[in-house]
Amino acid sequence: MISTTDMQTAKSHTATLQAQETYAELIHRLTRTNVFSANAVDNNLANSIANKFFNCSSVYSHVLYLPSRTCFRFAKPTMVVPLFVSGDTVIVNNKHTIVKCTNDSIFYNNGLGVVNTGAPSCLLVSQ
Amino acid sequence: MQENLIKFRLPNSVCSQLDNIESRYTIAKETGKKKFLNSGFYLSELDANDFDMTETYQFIGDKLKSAGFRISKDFNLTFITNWPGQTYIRHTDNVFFVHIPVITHADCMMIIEDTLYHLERNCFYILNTKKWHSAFNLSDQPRLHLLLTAEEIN
Repeated sequence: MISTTDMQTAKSHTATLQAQETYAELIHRLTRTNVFSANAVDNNLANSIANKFFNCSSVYSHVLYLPSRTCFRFAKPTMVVPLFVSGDTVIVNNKHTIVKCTNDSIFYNNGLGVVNTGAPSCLLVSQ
Repeated sequence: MQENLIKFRLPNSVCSQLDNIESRYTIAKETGKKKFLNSGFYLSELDANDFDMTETYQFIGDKLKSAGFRISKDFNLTFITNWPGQTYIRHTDNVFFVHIPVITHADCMMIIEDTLYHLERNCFYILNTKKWHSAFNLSDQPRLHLLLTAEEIN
């Protein structure tokens, strides 16, 4: 005879497996379709950073989610503030130099490229 | 091999063969994109067996020998596509790879260790892929390379 505790353990185990499966499916789908998302955010923070460090103003800002194994180049002069990055994200500046993207750096230039050679990244992007 | 890459220039006869591959690839690239979206990973949509690569193979073999390398027998000439916006995970390989750019753009780059390289058309390269490396395509067109593996002659 199966006890109530065993039933609860089994249910909890099944729920965990289902959650893991859903998460794996989600990651797989994101990786397959190369989805990246950009959500518009309040411009005040980006504007103060742009004023302080680059002596310019920001018109609009987005939070950009860039999945693993993807890269993106900004056509206009752009300020990039890393929010969540791993050591595997790099910034390509004018096709010539390459800088490791870390949480304590801010980047501003025309034609910046963000390259995720490992984990996904989340960036505050302002133009 | 200590350096990150060794560059060689290709003769005109081999370059014209690459032109031929490029013209056929333009027709095939949409099929390749579908394969990429379905599988989530790059796949070759051209078969190297469809082309007579004897001259290219011979030329590269001779050049490799002059640099102290030989073509590995356990890896055939393969096409590899890097799609726009796609990056390869930073990794190391057990062998040296020879890259022959067929279609490339200024925004297609390789990172070896911490250095950025653009592999030019009409040249071929022995890359030190035993070091940490990655490749990415920031342009809006696919990048197509021919690939071989090489081993050092002791």
